[in-house]
Amino acid sequence: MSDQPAPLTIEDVRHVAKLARLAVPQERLASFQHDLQAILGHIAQLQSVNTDGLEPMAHPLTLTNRLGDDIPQSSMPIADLLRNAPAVEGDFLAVPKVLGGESS
Amino acid sequence: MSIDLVQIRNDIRTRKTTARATVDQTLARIAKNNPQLNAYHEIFDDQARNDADRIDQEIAAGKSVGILAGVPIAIKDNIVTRIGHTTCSSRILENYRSPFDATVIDRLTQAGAIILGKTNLDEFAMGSSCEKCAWGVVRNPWDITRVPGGSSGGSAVAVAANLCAAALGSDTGGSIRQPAGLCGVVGFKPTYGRISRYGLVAFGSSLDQIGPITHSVRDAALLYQCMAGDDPRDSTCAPRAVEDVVTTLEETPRTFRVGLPIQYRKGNSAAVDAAVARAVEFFKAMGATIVDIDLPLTDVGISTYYVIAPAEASSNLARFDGIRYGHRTKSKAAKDLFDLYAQSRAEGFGPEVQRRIMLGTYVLSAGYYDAYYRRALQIRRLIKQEFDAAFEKCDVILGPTSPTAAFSIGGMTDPLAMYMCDVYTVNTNIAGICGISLPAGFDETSQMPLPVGIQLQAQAFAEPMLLKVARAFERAQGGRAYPELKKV
Amino acid sequence: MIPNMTASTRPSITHSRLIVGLEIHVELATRSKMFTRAANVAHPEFFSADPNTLVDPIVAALPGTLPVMNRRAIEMSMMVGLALNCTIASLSKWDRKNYFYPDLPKGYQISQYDMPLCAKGWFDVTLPDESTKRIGIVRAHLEEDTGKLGHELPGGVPFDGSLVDLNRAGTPLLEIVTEPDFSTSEEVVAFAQELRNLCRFLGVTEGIMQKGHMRFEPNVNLALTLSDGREVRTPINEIKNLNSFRAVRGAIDHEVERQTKEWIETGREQGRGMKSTRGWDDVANVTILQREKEDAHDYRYFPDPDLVPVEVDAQWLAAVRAEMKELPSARRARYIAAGIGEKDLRQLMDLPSLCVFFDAAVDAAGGASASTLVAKIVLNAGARRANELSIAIADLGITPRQIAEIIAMRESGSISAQGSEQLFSLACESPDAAQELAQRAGLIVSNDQGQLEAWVDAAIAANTQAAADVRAGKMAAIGRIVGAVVKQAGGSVDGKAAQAMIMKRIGRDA
Repeated sequence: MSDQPAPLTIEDVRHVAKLARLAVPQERLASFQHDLQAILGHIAQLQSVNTDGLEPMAHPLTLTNRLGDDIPQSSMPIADLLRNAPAVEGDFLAVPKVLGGESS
Repeated sequence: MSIDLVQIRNDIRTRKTTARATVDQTLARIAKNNPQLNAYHEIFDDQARNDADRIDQEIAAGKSVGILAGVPIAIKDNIVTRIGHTTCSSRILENYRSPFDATVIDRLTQAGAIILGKTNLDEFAMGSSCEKCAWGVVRNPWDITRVPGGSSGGSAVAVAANLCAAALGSDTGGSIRQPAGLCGVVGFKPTYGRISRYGLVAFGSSLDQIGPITHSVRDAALLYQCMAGDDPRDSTCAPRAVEDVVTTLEETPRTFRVGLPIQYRKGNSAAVDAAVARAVEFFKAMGATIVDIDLPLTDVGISTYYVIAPAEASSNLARFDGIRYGHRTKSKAAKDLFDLYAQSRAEGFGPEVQRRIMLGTYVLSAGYYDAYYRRALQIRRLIKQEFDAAFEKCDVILGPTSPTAAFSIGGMTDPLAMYMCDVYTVNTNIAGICGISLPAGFDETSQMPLPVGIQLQAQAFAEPMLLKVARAFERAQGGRAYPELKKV
Repeated sequence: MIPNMTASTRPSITHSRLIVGLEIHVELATRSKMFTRAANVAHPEFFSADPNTLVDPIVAALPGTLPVMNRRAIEMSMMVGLALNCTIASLSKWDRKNYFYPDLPKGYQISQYDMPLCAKGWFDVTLPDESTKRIGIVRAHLEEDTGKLGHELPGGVPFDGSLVDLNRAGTPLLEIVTEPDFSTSEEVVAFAQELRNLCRFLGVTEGIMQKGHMRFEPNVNLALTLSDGREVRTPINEIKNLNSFRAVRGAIDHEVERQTKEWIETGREQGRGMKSTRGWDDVANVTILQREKEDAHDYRYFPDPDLVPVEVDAQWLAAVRAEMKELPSARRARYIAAGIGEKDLRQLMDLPSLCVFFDAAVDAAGGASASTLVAKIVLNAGARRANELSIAIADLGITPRQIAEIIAMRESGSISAQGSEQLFSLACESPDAAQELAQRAGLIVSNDQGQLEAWVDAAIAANTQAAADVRAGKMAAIGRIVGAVVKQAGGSVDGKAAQAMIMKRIGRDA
C-alpha cells in the first residue's frame, strides 16, 4: 500500500492550469481546488488496492504492428485547412509573434 | 405502436411508404418537439429531403439499394460530418466544419442511410446528464423536468421521442447505455476496437467506442453490422471478421448462464432492483442458468476511470488551441502566445471540461504519475482479470444500467455525485468488453413514469451472443413504450 | 559549490577535460509522413512544395483524426540502429510528449519514451589522424517532426507575428543519442560527418544540412581538476538545433571557453535539474541562453492510446538486414582494394547515388577488375559533362551497360580515345547500344589500309615541313601529321595505327 498523495493546494491548481493552458481567474481558483480535491479524495481509494507486480494495462487490445504502407496520398485542399482557422495570412496560419527557438 | 428502423426500412423498400414521406414526417415531429427537448443542435432538412428523393427514385427504378436505404439517422455531434458543423456541444468548436466524414458516416451513407442531423451532448462527451451542453440542456421526453442522461442524451432523446429511425452515440464510461436507459430505448456499446473511431472526436481514446441507440435490439444489431469491422485509418480497430449478427438474431441460445454480480445490488432505487428481478425471471423462464458472481472492484471502477479518462482527455483536448480551428479569444489582454492559448481555452471550454483537463493534467504531472496514472492502469488490469474470471462462470452479466431513473434537471450539483451514476457502466469501457442497455420497465414512484434500463455485459467480441440474449429479453417483455409527446 | 568563495579565493584550474554527448535528429526520407500518408517534405520529390500543401486532416490534427504508423520509417530506423550496432527492441511503443506550441498541431508530439526501437549500440569513428574511437550509442528512437514558424510572407514581406507552415509537421524523425564519450569538438564533428554519410548510404535520409535533414544537439560540460586536487564538473548545457558541422564545432569550442570563464566567476557546479538550453548565433559565433532549467517543462509522457506497439520478430529483422545497403566503411575498403585512387575515392564516397551507378557499371563491365577503367570513364568524361550540365553523373542518361560497352570497344581497339569520349556523349542522348551508336557516327576504327594510306598521304602532303622534320629524325613533329590524319578521319582512326602508317609512308619515300 502506498502513501496517500498530498492534498491539492491553490498553488497546485495554478500550476496545473498553467500546464494545461487554461486561464483561471483568481476568484475561481478556490472553487476548482475544492472540486478537484473532492475528486482526488475519492480517487485516493486506488491506493488501497494491492497492485504489487501488476503490469499496467494502457489499452484493452493487445494488437501490434498496425502499419501503413509508405505510399503518399493527396493532401487536403489548402482552403479546407484555412477556412476553419481564426487567423490566416496568405497561405499560412497566423499567430502572435513567437520568439526564441522551438520549445521541444 | 412499435415501429423501428428495420420496419421503416422494409416499408420503404417494399414501397408501402417512401423515404421522402418518412423524412418529412420525421422533420415535422422534430419541428414540433425539438424546441422543447433540444435533442438536435443542427438539422439537415434540405439534404435529407434530397437524399430521400434520390433513394425513392432508385427504388422506383428497381435498382438495388443499401440495407439502410432511406432511413433517417441522427448523429451525436462529436462524430465528424462533412455536412453541417461538428461542435461537440462546445463553444470552442462553435463554427467548426469537418472536411471529412467519420468512417461510420461513410459506412452508414454507403448503406443508404440519410444523415438527418447532429444531436446534443454533454460538452466533449463529459457528463451524464446533458446539462453541460453549450447549446442548452436536453430534456427527457418522459418528463421534461428530468435529464435524459448523457453524454449521448440528444441521441437517446431523438430515438425515444421518435425524431429519427435510429441514432449514433459514443460511450466512454456509459455515455450510450446510461441515456438509453434513462430514456427507455436500446443503447449498445460494442467491444473496444469493433467500430472505427476515425472521425469520433477523442475523449478517452482507450475507452471511447461508437455505438447505436435504437428502438429495438434488431436495429442495434443491423447498425452494428453496418459499422463494425477493421479500418485502416484506426490502428486500434480490431482486424477481425465481423460475424453475421442480423440473421442469427432470433435464435435464443439454447443454454446460457446469466451472472448476477453481488456488488450490483446496493444503492439502487426499488424500481431499478425490481426491473433487474423481473429480467431474472424472464431469463429463468427461457431456461437460463442464473449464477451469482463476484466483481469486488465495481466500486473502484469510478476512481480508475476518473484517472484514465481525464488523463487521456487532457492530452486529446490540447489540439483545441485556437490556431488551426476553433475559438480564439478576442481579448486585448491576450498579448503573447501563452495568453492566447490560456484565454482562448478558458473561454471555449465549459467548467466541467476544464475540471477534467486539470484533473488529467495533474495525474500525469511530474511526481504524481505513479501514484495515480500508473496505479490506475494496474487496477485496470485487475478489473479486466475480474471480468475474465466472471465470464468463466457466465455468458452475460445482468444488472442495472444506472442506480436510479432520470434525476431532475439541476438536481445534482456535486460533480462527484454525478460521476457515481456511472458505477455500473465504466468498467465495461475500462476492460474493453461489450454491453447493452435495454428498456426494462418504469419507475412509477415519480410524478411521471420514468423508464428504467437493465444492462447486459459480455466478454470482448461476444456481440453475437450478447445481442441474441438481448433480443430474447426484448421478445419476452414486448416492444418498448413511447412517451406522450405533443401530437403532430 | 563552496559558498562564500569568490573568483579570487577559488582554487585554480590545473586541468580541463571536455565531455560531450550528442543528440542527432535525422529526418527520414520516406515518401509519406510518420503517422499519415500525406507526402513527406524530406523526400526529394516534395522538397519544393508550397507552404501548407503537404497537409491532410491528420497533420493538421483536425478533430477525429488518428495516427497510423509508417512501416518504412520503422524499417529505415532499424537499418540505422543495426548500422550503429544497436539492439533492435522486440517490442517498442509510442508515447505522447505533451506541450503547447504553434508548430505542434496536436498539442503533443508522438515519440518513444521508455521503450525505444533501438538501444545500446556503438560506432567506431575514424578521427582525422586515422585512429578510431568507439562512441557508445544510448538509444535511437522514432518520433515526428514539428511544423515551421516563419516571420516573413512570400516575397520577403515582413509580418508582425508568426506564420505557421505545417509541411514539415509529421516528418519521421529518428533521434539518436550517444553516450558522453566525446572529448574534443573534432571528434564530434568527425562522428557527425560519418553518421551523415552512413545515413545517406543507407538511403534513409537525403542528409541536406541546409534543409535541416540532420540537426545536432551537443550536451557539453567540463571536468575541471583544481589546484586543491578536487575534480568538479560544470553544469551541462545543451546546444539546440545545430545544422552545420561548422556550427557544431563552433558551439562546442565556445562552450569550453564560456564554461571555463563562468566557473571561474561563479564556481557553479553540475547539479540536479541544472541543465540549461542554449542556441547558437551563427553570426556572432557564440551560444545564447534559451532556458535556465530543464525542470521548467513537465511533458507528462504517457502511452499513446491511439497507437499499438511495434513488434519486431526475427523474420522482419532478417528481411530488413538483408535489404540494408553496404555501409560506407565496407564500401570504401572495397574500392581501395579494387585500386581506386584517393581523388576518385573522395568523389565516389561523397555521393551515394554515384556509388550505386558506379557499381552497376563495374558489374556490367565484368566485375571489380574493371573498377579503374570504369572510374576513368565515369569520373572523368562523366564528371566533366555532368559539371557542364549541372546534373548528377548518374542522371546523365548513359546506362551502366553502355559504359561497359564503351570500355570493351576501347580495350579491343575498335574505337579511339577520342572516339570513346564522343561515344560517351552520344550514349547520354540515346539508349541504343554503344556499338550501334559508334557505327552510326562513324567512330569505329577503320581497318581499311588503303583508306588510311590515302589519309596519311594527304596529311604528309599538307605538312611537308613536319614530314621533313620526321624524316630528319625529329620525331616530335609527327604529332602534327597524326593530327591532320585524325582531322580527316574523324574518330574512325586510331592514333597508333595512323602513326605506324606515317612512318611506313615516310620511310618508303626516304
